[in-house]
Amino acid sequence: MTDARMTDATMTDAKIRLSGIGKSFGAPAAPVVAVQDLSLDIRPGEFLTIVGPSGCGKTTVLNMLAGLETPTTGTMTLDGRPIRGPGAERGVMFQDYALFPWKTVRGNIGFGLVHGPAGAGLSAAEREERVRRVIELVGLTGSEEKYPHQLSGGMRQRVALARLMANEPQILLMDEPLAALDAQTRIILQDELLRIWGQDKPAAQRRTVVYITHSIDEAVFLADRVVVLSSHPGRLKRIVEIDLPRPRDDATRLSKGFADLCQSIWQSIREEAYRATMT
Amino acid sequence: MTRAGAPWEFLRWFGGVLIYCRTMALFLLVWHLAAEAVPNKLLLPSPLAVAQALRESWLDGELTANAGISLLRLLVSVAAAALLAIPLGLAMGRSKTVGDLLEWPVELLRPIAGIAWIPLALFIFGIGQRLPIFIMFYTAFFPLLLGTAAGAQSVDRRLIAAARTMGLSRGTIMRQVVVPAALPSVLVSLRLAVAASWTAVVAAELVGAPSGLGYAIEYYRSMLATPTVMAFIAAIGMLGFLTDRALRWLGDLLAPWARAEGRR
Amino acid sequence: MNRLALKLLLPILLLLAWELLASGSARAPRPSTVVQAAAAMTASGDLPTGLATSLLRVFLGFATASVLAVPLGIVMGSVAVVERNLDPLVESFRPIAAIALLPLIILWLGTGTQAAVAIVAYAAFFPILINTIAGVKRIEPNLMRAAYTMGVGALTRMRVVLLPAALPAILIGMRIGLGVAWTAIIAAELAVGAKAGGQGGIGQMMFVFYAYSVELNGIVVCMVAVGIVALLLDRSLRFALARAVPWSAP
Ligand SMILES: Nc1ncnc2c1ncn2[C@@H]1O[C@H](COP(=O)(O)OP(=O)(O)O)[C@@H](O)[C@H]1O
Ligand SMILES: [Mg+2]
Repeated sequence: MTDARMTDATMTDAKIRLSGIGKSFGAPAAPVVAVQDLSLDIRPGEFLTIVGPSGCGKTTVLNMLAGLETPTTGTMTLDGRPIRGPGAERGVMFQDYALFPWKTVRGNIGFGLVHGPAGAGLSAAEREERVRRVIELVGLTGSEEKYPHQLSGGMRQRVALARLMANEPQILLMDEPLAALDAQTRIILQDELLRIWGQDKPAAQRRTVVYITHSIDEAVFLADRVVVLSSHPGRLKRIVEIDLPRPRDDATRLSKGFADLCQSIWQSIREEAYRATMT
Repeated sequence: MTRAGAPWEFLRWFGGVLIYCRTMALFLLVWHLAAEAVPNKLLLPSPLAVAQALRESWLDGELTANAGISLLRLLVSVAAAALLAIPLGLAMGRSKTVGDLLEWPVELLRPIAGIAWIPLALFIFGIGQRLPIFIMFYTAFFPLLLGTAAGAQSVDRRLIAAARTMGLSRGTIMRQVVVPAALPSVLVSLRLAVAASWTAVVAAELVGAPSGLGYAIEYYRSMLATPTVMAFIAAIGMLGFLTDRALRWLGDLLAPWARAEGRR
Repeated sequence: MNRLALKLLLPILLLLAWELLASGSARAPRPSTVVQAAAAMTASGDLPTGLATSLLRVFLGFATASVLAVPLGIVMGSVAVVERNLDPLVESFRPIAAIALLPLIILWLGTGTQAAVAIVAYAAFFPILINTIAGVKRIEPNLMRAAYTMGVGALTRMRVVLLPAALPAILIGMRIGLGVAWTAIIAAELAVGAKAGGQGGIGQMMFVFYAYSVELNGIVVCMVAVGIVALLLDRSLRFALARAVPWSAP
C-alpha cells in the first residue's frame, strides 16, 4: 500500500461532502435564508436521514444535492469533484412524485431508461426486463398500463420509487417519499425500502441514500445516521448515530433502543417544533 | 408573498415599464423604416403619419364621436344581455327543469355566430342603430348565460348544505351562497362577452351602420386615407384593451377572493 | 323520457310558432320553405361550394396560425426574457379584432383567398399563442426537473416532457382559435361581399341573397349551415383533445 492509495481511501471516505453550504432566496436586498452554514460528510453506502420541522430547508438541501439549485455559499463535492448540475448517478424522488401524467406506469418507470443515459448500452429487451423487475419489486404488477390519475396515492408513491430504482443510480435522494401515506402502508413500504436498499447485504454493496422525512420514528428506523436540522434558517443541529442492529424489522420498532433514540431526538427539537406550530 | 417589500415591487414595476417602452420603440422604429422603404405611402404610412392622423381626428372630434357611439352601443347591448342572461343562467344552473328546457334552444342557436345574423338583421332592422345593438346583444348573451349557469351549477354542494343546516331559506341561499359563489365565473364570462361584442360591433358597423368606429375605418378606406384607417384601428385596439382592464378592475373589486382567477 | 320531452318542448314550440306566424306573408321564411331552399341549394351545388370555399380558407389560415403561434408560445412560455420583451406587442395587438384589420388587408392583399387566409390566421393566432404560453408556464416544475435529474438532454426534455405537458392547453387554444377563425371568415366574406365585390364563400353568399336576390330563405339556410359547421369544427377538436390526451381524467 502506497501513501497515495491511503489518501485516496480517506478521500472516498466521504461520498458527498458539503462544506459551509448556505442558500438564500428572493431579492438580494431582502433575502430569505433557507439554509445556513451546513457542513456534512455523507459516507458511501450509508442511509442518511434528515429530519426537521416543516420549512426548515430540507427540500432545499436535497435540491442542491441533486444539482437543481446552486448554493449561495460553500462548496459541494461528489467523489471529490464539485457538483455542478444534475447527473444521472444521483436519482431523485420528489416530494410530489413528479410522475408524467401522459405516461402509463410502465412509461413512467422506463422513462429514464428510454430517454436518459441510464438505458445506454441496454437492448430494448433488457430495458423491458429491468422495468418488469422493479415493477414486481414494488408490487405494481397488474397496473402497468394505468395512468397516474388512475392510481391511489400509495401506488403513485410506488411508481416514483420504481422509477428511481429502474435507473439504478449510485445515490438515491428522496424527499419525504412516504409522507402522503397512511400509517400501515408506510410501515410496509419502510420495510420494503430497507430491503431494496440492501440491508441484508454487506455494507459495501449498498447504495448511498439521503432521505428526508419529518417523522422522527421513520428517520430513526431507516437510518445509519440522523441529521437534525433547526429552522429559520436551516442549520445543522445534531447528528445522531443510529446503532440499532440490521436487519431491522417490527422488533426494532418495539425495542427500547429505538424508543430512546426517538425520544432523544424529539427532545432536541421539541422547543422549536412548538414554536413553529404556534407562529 | 410580500416578502420583498415595497421598494423592490416598485423597481420591478418600473423595470416592466422600461421594457414596454423599449419593445414598443423598437417596433415603431422597424415600422417607420419599413414605411420609408415602401414607395407607396398609401400602402404603408409611417407611424408618424398615423400619429398625425390620430391627432387630427381627435382634434376635430371625429374620433371621440365615433368611439363614443361604439362604446355606447357596447354598453347598452351588454347591459341588456347581462340583465337577461344572468338571472336566466342562475335559474338554468340551479334548476334541472329550467336547464333541460333551455338546453336545446341554446345549443342550437349558440353555434350561429352573431355576425351571421347580420344579413337577416339588415332586413329586419335596416341600417342604423338597432342592427349593431342586436348583433352585440346576441353575441354577448351566450357567454354570459353559459358562464353564469356553469358558475351556479358548480357551487360547492357542501356550502349549500352548510347553509341549509343553518336554516336559511331558499331565497337567502340563492342570494348569500349561490350568487357570490358563481360571481367569479360570471365576471370571467362578462369579460369574454365584452371582448366578443367588441369584435362584433366592428363587423356590424362595417356592414350596416352609418356611424361608429367600424363605419369610420371602412369610410376612410374608401377615401384611401390609410393613416386615418390605421389611427382608427389603433383606437379600436386601445379601447378594447382599456375596457378589458376596467372589467378586470371591476372583477377584483366585486370578487376580491377570486383575484388570481382568469388572469390575462 | 320525461327529460327528453322537456328538452324538445321549446324547440318544437318555437318552430311551430315560427311556421304559423310566418305563413301569413309570402316572402317571410318558414321552417318548411327553409328546408325546401336548403334542398334546392344543395342540389344545385351552391351551398356545398360556398361552404367548401370558406372551410378551405379557414383551414389554410388556421394552419398558418398554428405553425407560427405554437413554437412562439413555447419559446415565450419557457424563456422569461423573451416573454417579457414580446409581451407588450402581444398585448397591443391582441385587442384589435381581426375584422378591424379588414380594410388594411384589402389594401395589401386584395379580396381573394390570400386576404381571407390572412384574416383567419390573425384571428386564430392569439388564442393559440396565449394558451400555449399559459400551458408551458403551468407545467409542474418538478416534471422538467425529474427528467433533468435522469440525465435527459435539453432538446429531448422539450420533446418528451414540455410538449406533452403543454399539449392539453395548446389544443384548447386551437379549439378556441378555430371557433374564432370561423366567425372571422364569415365576417370578412360578408364585409367584402358588401363593400368590395369579392367572390366566394358562405358569408358572401349570404350577402348576395340579402342585397341582390332578396332571398330570405337562402339567408336562413346559410345561417343554419354556419351554425352546423361551427358545431362540427368544435366537436372534432374536442374529440381530438380527448384522443390526444388520454391521460387526463374525463
Ligand atoms: N424557490 C424558493 N423561493 C423562495 N423561497 C423558497 C424557495 N424554496 C424554498 N423557499 C423557502 O425556504 C425555506 C425552506 O424551504 P424547504 O426547503 O422547502 O423546506 P422543507 O422542505 O424543510 O419544508 C422556506 O422558508 C421556504 O419558504
Ligand atoms: Mg419539503
